[in-house]
Amino acid sequence: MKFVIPAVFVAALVAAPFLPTYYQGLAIYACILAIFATSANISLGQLGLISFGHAAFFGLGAYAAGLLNFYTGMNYWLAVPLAILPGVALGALVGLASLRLSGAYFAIATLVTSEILRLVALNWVSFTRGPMGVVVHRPREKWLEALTGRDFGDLYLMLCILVLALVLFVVSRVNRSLIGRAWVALRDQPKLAESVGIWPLRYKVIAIAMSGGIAALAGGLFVPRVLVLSPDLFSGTLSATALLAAILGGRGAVMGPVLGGIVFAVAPELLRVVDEYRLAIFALLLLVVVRVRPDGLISLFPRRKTVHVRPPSALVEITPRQLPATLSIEHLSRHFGGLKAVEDVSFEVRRGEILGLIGPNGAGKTTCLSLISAFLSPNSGVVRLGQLTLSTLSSHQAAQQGVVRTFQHTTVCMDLSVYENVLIGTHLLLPETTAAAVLRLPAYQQRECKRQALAWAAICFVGLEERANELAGSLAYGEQRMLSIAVALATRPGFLLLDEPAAGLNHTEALVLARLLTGLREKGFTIAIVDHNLRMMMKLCDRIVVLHHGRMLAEGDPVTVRNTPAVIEAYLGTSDEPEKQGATDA
Amino acid sequence: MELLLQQIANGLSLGMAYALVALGLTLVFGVLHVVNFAHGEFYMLGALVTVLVVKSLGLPYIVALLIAIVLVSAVAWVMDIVAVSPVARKPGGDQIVLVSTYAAGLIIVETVLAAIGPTPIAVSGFSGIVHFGSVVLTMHRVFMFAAGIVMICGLYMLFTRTNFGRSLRAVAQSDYAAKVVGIDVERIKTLTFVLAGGIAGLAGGLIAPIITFNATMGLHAGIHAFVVVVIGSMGSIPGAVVCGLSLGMIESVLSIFLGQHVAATLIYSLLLVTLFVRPQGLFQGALR
Amino acid sequence: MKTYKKLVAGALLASALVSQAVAQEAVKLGVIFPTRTIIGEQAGHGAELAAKQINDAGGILDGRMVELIVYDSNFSAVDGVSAAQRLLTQDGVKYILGEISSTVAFAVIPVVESEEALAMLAMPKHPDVTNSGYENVFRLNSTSQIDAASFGKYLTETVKPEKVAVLVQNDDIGLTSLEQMKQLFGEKVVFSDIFDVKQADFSALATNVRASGADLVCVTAANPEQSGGVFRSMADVGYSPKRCLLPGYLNNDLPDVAGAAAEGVFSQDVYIDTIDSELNNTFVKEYLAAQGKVPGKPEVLGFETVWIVAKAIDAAGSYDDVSKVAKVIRDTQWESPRGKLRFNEIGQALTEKLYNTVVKDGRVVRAD
Repeated sequence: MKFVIPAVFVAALVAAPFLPTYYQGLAIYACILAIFATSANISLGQLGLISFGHAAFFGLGAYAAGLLNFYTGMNYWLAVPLAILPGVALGALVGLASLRLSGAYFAIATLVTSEILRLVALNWVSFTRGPMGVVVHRPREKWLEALTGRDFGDLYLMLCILVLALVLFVVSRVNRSLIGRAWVALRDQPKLAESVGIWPLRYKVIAIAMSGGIAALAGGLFVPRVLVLSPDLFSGTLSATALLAAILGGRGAVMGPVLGGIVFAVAPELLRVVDEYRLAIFALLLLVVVRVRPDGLISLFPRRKTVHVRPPSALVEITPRQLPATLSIEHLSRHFGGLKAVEDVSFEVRRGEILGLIGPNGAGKTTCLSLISAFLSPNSGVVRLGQLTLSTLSSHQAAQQGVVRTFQHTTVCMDLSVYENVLIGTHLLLPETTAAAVLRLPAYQQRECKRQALAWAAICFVGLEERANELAGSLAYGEQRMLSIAVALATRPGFLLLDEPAAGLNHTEALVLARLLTGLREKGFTIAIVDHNLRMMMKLCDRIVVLHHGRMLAEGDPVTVRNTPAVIEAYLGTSDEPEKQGATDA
Repeated sequence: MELLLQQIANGLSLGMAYALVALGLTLVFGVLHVVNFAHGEFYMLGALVTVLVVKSLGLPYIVALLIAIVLVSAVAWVMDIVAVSPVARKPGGDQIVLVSTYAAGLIIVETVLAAIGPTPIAVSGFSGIVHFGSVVLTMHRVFMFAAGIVMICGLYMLFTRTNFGRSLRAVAQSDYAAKVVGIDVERIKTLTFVLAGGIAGLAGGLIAPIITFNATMGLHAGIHAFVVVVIGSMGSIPGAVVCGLSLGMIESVLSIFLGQHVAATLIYSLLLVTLFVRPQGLFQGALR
Repeated sequence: MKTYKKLVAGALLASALVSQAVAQEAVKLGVIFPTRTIIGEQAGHGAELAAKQINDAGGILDGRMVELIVYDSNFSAVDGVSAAQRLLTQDGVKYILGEISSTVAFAVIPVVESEEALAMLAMPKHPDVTNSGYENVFRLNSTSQIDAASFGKYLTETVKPEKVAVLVQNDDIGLTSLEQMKQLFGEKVVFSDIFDVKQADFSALATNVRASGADLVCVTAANPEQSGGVFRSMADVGYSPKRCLLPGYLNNDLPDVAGAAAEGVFSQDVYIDTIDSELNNTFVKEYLAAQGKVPGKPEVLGFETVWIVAKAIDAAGSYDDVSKVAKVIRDTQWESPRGKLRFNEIGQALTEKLYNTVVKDGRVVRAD
């Protein structure tokens, strides 16, 4: 199975020179659209961002290569790789923008970008010759043709096949690296991603810059096919083609957009026998395909099974990163409109302890946790980690400092396996670059092995090793809670902040959880925990902080806290059921 | 000054045309939470039906408008059955709908091209010129503007005073909540799609006498409408109306000082800046 | 589809010719047009009529029928290249005829060259189309320079405007014509604007032109809905200066679209349907019978592509010897419905004269 796709490419390369010219032309266009759709799929499939303006990158690449050749006389084929650069640059800019814009707003921003570029190409007549277009001469390499005995069309097609193969190689390697995992996490569970230290900006910029570069490459390759640069290279039709080809082929798999690209290039041409109706028939086919196969054409092929993980040979211990400091919370306040969710709260989380944060509903516990982990910024007050002020950082930076939280609602990527989820958690273990992810040199592989070993250790620690290959979505609720703890553990947090880890667990599961947390303390982890299970909390915690209506009510060891009159009043004072009190939840 | 006033008047009529096309699109987005790529084709069909009814059947323009609304609504209904509701329900459906509505739109355009060819067809609506001081507008533009206002008020009444309108707003807020209170969500969505089709059909019929029908007019109008809808916050009807009108006015007034091709670049750049400053559009908030 | 129809027509005709014992292999000509646009459709009808007339008269090369294989180039360079490659390498055609867009022509010419075939282009206007360096490329339409020379003379000597406004579509033809008008009238150009080829509402533009106070408004727009829209919007704001369309675009679609607002719009063109020659009279009559309306320039240029190439193949006595056919095309003075024409050394068709045309009572007629 693993060798099928490379075999197909080798076969295509061998067959290429023997195709009739017309079919060579179709194949060239198919390769270019496949590359283009692959590029669109990086933002669509990996980040879940729909781009209506991918022609911006495509046209930029085409114009860059064409104009370089036209003005400087540079060999066209040397200009093509250079043309990738403006695509990457524009992609990086769009990536920055994507942090602010999502959904339809991102789509329209890209659409407008490509329209602006089209208008510039159209109206900057002195540079681009506007609608007159720039005629590029067929970039023949006579010496190569003589050397190989093949004509221009043969060589052009072979080049396109090679470039497509290279692009797919790069994309699939990046997808399966730390970067690809970060993309998936940002797409499916952006909060989880930030909590394990993934910097959204960096990975969105990488994704869209890469996507832009690949689209620009496709644009550069496209010019010898049409030999004229015209503002139509930025047209909405072209953008739509890339997007629709990716969706038609299938967003989930690397080969999906390739299939889609081929269909978009070839189908309308093959329908030329019914020339007048060819686009109508093509549209009809398109409609039928998406109705019958909403996951795209790729779903017609047997799906490659997810790789089964084996326990790594060298097992590692899960340990916290060494953090000498104490986490101190000083006069922290946070208001939502008129609601004072947290008001002047000060306490410390000391190394190696389990600190409990309790209080009736709406007491501000979760808000407090979010403030400490920098998911929220305080209106006043600071959170310090030793000398470092945490509260001015962003959440992924807090995670880098070893302050890692979990969420009240189970937050894991349901479509990934348990193992893949935990691998996301290892994000911060070792730094990685895109180039390293593509090249996979031995040093990279060693780093990846370390990450895998760590992930495996985290899975074992929470007792999910039997389910490591199963989809997170198929786990029982209690197991999913454990999985989210495993993901957090994989970051080797100095401070682990758990938001209601026992919520919804039955008695046995809660006991297991308590044992697990005690085990973590023994390993040197520092834990702050918010929960309603008072019995568990009293047994588990070294110290307890009680919040009520956003204010500190008490702090101390469980016995002291339990006997503080104010606490008893807060829990029992007006009602027998503490859960109902303070229904105005933050 | 006279020129400026005239351009503002022109801009209002141009902007109303934008708003009319954008209305249905924003409605579909607000309630169904999908983008209808074929919306421009509904508009084109509305113009086509109006033109054909007036030219071939010789019926009065007003009657043609009504027929356009009915026929385009019917087309929208068929399209909902074929390409929208069964697709949108599936996971990832909002993206698949892009493909299915694109395909359906392409089928519509190609069918029209095959049936009546690429020749543009002119039709006259209301003839005559209206003077407002020094400002001159054709009677038809005035009529279109008035009809647009009436329709917007009608929609407002529909949404606020009827059961259907209340259900529609509930679905716009949340499918789930609407289901819980016993609203037939699928039915409301289908009706909304049909309503949006009818609005687009009317828009096409109203605008046809101004711009001359041709089979490819829908694509361009659709893209413009999409821009208007997004800047006006997707799903917001006041947003679509205000942004449509403003866009028309800006275009018209700018044309006094700048060449239209330069103005277009400027307007698009402004749009981009607007998006950065207000990432959710200018009229943040759901359907009201 | 179209191929099929032509085959049937050819076969019927062949069987009717009793003297012909065996139906000979048809002479195949490849035709590309954006068939789903109005100009492409019109030009395509012209090409079909030429094939029909030639076949009715017994065909070429000793009774072989002319068969057209028509493909849609869709105003897209990609589609144009694919269509040309399909024609040249799959359908065994050596002659590519037709096309409207210069962009498509630029993309197609290298394909034609690498297959050592011949291109007879109908409408592309860009001067560089005939400067590719490949000798077997011909173009029938007049270039903007040719037009400007003649029409400019007419404007400066006969119309004599004081203030000129120039409104052009944003494409190669529009921008070239704007440049030419500026050169011609210099300071007299008091207003100019460039509109998008998809623009639909021209009220703002018309208002601005009116404010400029020009007494001559020159428009360059290929689509009648756009030129019509401009003239109608001008009439709507009560502005009626002298109005002209730059050469090549005035046909009966304008009065159809713009109605009374088109009245008096003048232009020049290489063809007008009232030219009184035997060839043109037959052409107009048969076109009218087939399509129900009188032909205009696109129809004539479409007609000429097939008419000239087929006659040249016949005269050269060979289909496969493309160079010989090209030589015949270059060396012959051709008769066409628009009159006599010949090709210069780079393959540009030259005609004797341009006709002054004007819209009168809802029809385009000769002005002089």
